[in-house]
Amino acid sequence: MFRFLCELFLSCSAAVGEPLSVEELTYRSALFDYYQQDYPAALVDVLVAERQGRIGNERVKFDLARGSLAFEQGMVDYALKVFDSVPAQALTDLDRLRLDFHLARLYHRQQNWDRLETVLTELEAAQSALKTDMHPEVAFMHADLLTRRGEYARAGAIIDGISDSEPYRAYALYNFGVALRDAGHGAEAADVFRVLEGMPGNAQEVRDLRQRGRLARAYLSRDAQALEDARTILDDLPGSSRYRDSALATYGSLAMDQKDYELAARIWLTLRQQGGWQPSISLARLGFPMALQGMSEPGLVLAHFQTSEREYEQHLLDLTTVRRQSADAAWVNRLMRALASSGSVEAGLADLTREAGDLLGRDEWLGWLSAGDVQTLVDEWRTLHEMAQWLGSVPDTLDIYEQVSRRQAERAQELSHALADSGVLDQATAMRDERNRLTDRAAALDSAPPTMDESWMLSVATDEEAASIRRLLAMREELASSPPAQTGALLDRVNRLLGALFFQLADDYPNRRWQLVRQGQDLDESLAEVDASVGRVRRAAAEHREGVEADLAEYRARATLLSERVNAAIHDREIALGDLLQQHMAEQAKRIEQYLFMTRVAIAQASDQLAMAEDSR
Amino acid sequence: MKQSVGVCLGSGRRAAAGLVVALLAVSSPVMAEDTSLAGDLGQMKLDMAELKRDLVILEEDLLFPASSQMSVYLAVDVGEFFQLDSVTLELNGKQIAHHLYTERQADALVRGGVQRVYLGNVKQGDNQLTAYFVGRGPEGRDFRRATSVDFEKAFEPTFIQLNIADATASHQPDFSATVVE
Repeated sequence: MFRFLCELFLSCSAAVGEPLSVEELTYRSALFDYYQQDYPAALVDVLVAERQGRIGNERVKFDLARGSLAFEQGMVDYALKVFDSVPAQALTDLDRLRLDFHLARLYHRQQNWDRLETVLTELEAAQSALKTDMHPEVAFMHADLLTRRGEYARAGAIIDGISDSEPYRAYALYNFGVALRDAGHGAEAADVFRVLEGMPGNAQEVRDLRQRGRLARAYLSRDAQALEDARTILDDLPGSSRYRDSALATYGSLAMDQKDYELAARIWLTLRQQGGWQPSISLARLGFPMALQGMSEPGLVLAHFQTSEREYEQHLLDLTTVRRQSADAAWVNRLMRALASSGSVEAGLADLTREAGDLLGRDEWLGWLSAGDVQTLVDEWRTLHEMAQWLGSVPDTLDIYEQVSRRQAERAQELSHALADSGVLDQATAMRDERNRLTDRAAALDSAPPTMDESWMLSVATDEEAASIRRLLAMREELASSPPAQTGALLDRVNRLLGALFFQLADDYPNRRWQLVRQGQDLDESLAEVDASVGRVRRAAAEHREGVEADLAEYRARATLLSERVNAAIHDREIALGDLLQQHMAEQAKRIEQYLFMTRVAIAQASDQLAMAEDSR
Repeated sequence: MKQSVGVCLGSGRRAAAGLVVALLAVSSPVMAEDTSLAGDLGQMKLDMAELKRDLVILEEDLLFPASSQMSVYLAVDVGEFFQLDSVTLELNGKQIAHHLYTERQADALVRGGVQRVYLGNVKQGDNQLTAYFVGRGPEGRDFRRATSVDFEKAFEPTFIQLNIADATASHQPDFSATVVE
């Protein structure tokens, strides 16, 4: 499944080469979590990227990832909604293929066979167009669909197309065999199981399915009265198989059917010596003295039946105790905690904590625990419990955010005040005025060529020179109003001085203009630094996120509501577990009562035989 | 050689369930899923994912504002000449992050995943980031290399990509650090 997702869920090219875009970095960060099978984290990555606008033009890619990650976590309705929202025209052929694959898995899980058929048809057409092989999971789903519709020949042909190295082939074969058997096609089912047994590979799941197939074939042979065949099949079942006890019980029954009491007794004794109350061992308690009946003296047989009777009676009492306990919510809660803390139920019952074993009493729970319903409940409870723990930490997290936000708001205010009090803003205004003045002067110089008039000369002159010019002009004006005979020489002297000043200014004009430009540039740089400082302070002040209080209140409310729902769901699972346990205990009790009844009948018969033997003596 | 299923159905025989064997349930179809409570759980998971999303964004806004935010990503291209053990990051000569890689993480990188090694704050202006890579180089030898990047922090978030690539010509790993525009 993993490899398939790599091909169809996303682009698996590891090549990086060039620096990646922000969108690609974001997407591949989600992949990093995905490849580690941390689907919740990957989904949050994608949701954050979408909300932060970091998906660029890759909407379809992100949507497919979002839907797939949701699907992986069992958010089936949401996944379907996401996939439905992907616009068809935005899809490339490969995207279409990926989308169809996701939809097929979704419909298969929902057992929506009509829609599955439609999607599989599209998917297979797309695979054909893209010249890709049919993926084993697609073949598995298709075979499942056809099997459920009774199209066994077509289903078989599709399973034939799955590679022998694919675990999906083992699953498909097993399900196919079961379906054939249930439909009354025992011989064909046996053939399918035989093919399954011949599959190569050492993967745990394949080995397990091979053994299940072998056991199922043994049952079929026994049902068909092919007892020797059944024995041969069971002989080949590995002794370490998890189905060993079931196989032994079947073997024992076969031996009884064939009146091979010695063999049957050995088998039942082997099982019985294991202790515990798994179905095969419960049966062995009855089977062993029954087998002895055919070959031992009645007193010994009676003693064994009586031992079994006592054990059955005691076990019925134990079951009653457990049934009573399973009506107690606190006890079921403890049981669930013990089961959930034992690691994956599927990974091995041996991992279960001692507490779970102690609570349920003896080994009764072993078979019960391995049932799919119980595993699902325990898995869901574990998930919900983790959710509840996280939700429980949210208020503290939000408190911290609130403190940070409050401090940031205070700091923003402090910065705003500091900026106003520092005089930096006034300084910047003064600099800007000076810059404007320099600009005006430079513009004036550029607009008029050197002319010996007052305005030009004053625009170029330094303050000292301007004062001299003004003084000379005033003198000239005064002299002009006096009789020329008295002032002529002096006026000439004033004009010469003005002329000298003009030539000095005209000569130095380019240099002075350049100085103006230079001063302007220096001022620009200084002003930019002041503006940058002011900008930084203002940004820092403005970075306080507005509306945090409202957001925090909303998140608190959401966390509270969700906590309530999660706790209710946890409670539902515990009730369901209690119900399942009650139901299982009731079934167990019924079975043990049956055995007890048969044992008591046998005791009565054995007692009669003994009495008759006594009488005859 | 693979065996064929080759189903040719004859007249069906319904199997008679034996008293003993019927007690031993081993033959239900496998890979069945979904429970009546699953839909409810799916909605709660979604609600929680959305709450997590909002908290992540709030946290970034509060703790790592754009004007000081810097994130460092690590990408691995092929990875034939280098097996990554750890990465250490220094910002302006001061260590800010150190990460030891599990096999699963290293594998996720080789398969195209990108890890955000660091998310934090950095001062505005000129900065230097140095990354030290430790692992196994060609022929399984211990390998330690560093790469640096100078960057000027502006008002927008800064993204830096560290890259480990195979230089096929020299049969050596190549390390680089780039500011993502």
